[in-house]
Amino acid sequence: MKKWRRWDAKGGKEVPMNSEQLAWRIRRHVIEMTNRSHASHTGSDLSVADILAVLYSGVLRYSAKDPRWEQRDLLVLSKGHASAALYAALAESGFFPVEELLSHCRDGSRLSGHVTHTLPGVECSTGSLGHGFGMAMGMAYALRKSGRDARVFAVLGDGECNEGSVWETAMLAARLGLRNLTAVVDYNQLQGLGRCDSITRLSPLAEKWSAFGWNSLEIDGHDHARLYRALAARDENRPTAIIADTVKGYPISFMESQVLWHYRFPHDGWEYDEAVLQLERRRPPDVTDPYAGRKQERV
Amino acid sequence: MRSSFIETLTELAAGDESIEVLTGDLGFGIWDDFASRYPDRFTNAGIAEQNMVSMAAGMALMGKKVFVYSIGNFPTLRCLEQIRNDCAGHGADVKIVSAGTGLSYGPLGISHHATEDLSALRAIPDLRIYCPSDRVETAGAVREMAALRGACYLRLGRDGNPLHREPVEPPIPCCLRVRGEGNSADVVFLVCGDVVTEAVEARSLLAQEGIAAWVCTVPRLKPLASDAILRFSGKTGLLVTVEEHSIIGGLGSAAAEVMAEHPCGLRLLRIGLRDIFPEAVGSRDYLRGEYGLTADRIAGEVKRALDKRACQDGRP
Repeated sequence: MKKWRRWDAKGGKEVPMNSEQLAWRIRRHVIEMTNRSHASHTGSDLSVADILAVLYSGVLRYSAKDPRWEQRDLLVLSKGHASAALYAALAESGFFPVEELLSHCRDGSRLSGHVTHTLPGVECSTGSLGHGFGMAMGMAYALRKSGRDARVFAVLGDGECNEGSVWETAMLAARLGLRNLTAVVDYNQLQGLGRCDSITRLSPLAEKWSAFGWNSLEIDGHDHARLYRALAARDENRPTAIIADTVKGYPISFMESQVLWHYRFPHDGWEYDEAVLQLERRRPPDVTDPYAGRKQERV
Repeated sequence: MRSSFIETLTELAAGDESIEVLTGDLGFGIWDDFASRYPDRFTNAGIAEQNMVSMAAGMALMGKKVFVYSIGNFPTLRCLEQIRNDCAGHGADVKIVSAGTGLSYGPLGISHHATEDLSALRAIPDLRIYCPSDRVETAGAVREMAALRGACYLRLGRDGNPLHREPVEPPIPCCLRVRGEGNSADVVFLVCGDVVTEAVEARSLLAQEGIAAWVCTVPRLKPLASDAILRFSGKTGLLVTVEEHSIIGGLGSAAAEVMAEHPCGLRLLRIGLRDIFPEAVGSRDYLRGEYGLTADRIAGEVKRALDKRACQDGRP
């Protein structure tokens, strides 16, 4: 498989990590961050990790040295509760020091449990579902008005699609023909209290987006090659919705597709140890575990 | 008042290409001139206020100055959280404008009575609130909002008969004297919105009975300079707030907050809707009469308050 290399578009400097390596590091950070801060949403962070890793590995034009760079593409994490995963992606991409990740949700930290725009690399604060997507659409509209060629990506949760405002945004974006807007739905099929379809009738999701006038496609949300192809492409005159089929908690066996892991953090003891062990078994070549020394630290 | 807003905005848009208008599918006919002059800067966002306000914030973060227009409670209570998180929370350059507030749409029922908007919005940090009383104040408020970066709310009533002869230029004072002579008065009316016409008439009624009143408008409710209210200390004994709005959370509450923290020897009477939904419908004038917002009802309340105060002071 082709290795997608991360890059700093402005500086033109390649960062020596591919999307698989970045995804692994995001997941490793997520386990450590939630374990230490006792924060929620571990499962959501893990399901969206591949989407974010591919976005930051060659899809998004960004400059970590100049986060407000005029020609950058924009990413809005509308499912703002997956903040740990985004913070990890940003830190690994050079927006702020990786060491700061462990302050997540701690007293005095700027790494809040839901995404905050006071951090470099974050376009807007989210956390109340159904807001970020509308803001992303406004950004795409304003960019087009200003003649800027940048793209806007909004990453939504599937539970978030319960919000009526999501469909308000979808209708207007289609009417405006915002081809520079891409929505990615992290379709892990689990939300607050259970399976999506047992709560509201969300399926068939791709067809819904098509019916709303979007170019929609459904892909495996953990397959980097497919993700890259889908994210890199855009339609002639319609906005694009990518329904990314994912597994909540992936790839930690005891977290996968368990609604409990929407809330639970990996506790010290077997949960943390097993999660780290399972991740370690999947570690791609040439990437190190930033917390490898932790056991010695504790002893 | 609405025409004053649109005329001023149309004029400002000529010199500021970042000005954009979003409407929630409202304003039949009134936007024709703006839309024909600036077709690329006028967007009907449909009957979808939550999206409209989030979208406005996103546009503002990309350098636009976005005026969001609708009526009644639709651009405020319907999308309150979008105003809080997306606009004010990001310091986004979004100006929320609601026309037909208060009891303007009296016959249409409580869905169209915008009488708690100030209460809800006043608590939101980094959101400036304008509540002009006539077309002159409206024009000044629009100029001030356009000149400042950040989130604002403009509350428009129905009537805009000019009370001020001179233009009101930014920065808009917190209190403008509309009517009143001398160095002191028995009562000072603090008013926001077009209900000021009732206060002006109440002043005439009171004058016939030898009671001297000033009428001061409060075109900018937030930030409200406490000095503007406290400076009446020693010049009158009774402040009366008048608003076509609940007495909870709006101008009356704002005045009470200032007076409670700065003992100033002033008594306060709040006139507005007393925590009720109107049971019957009717014209705005009818509803004003029913709920104590007409000139004669206001004058009556003031006389009672003054009598009570006289008794408390031990005077006959």
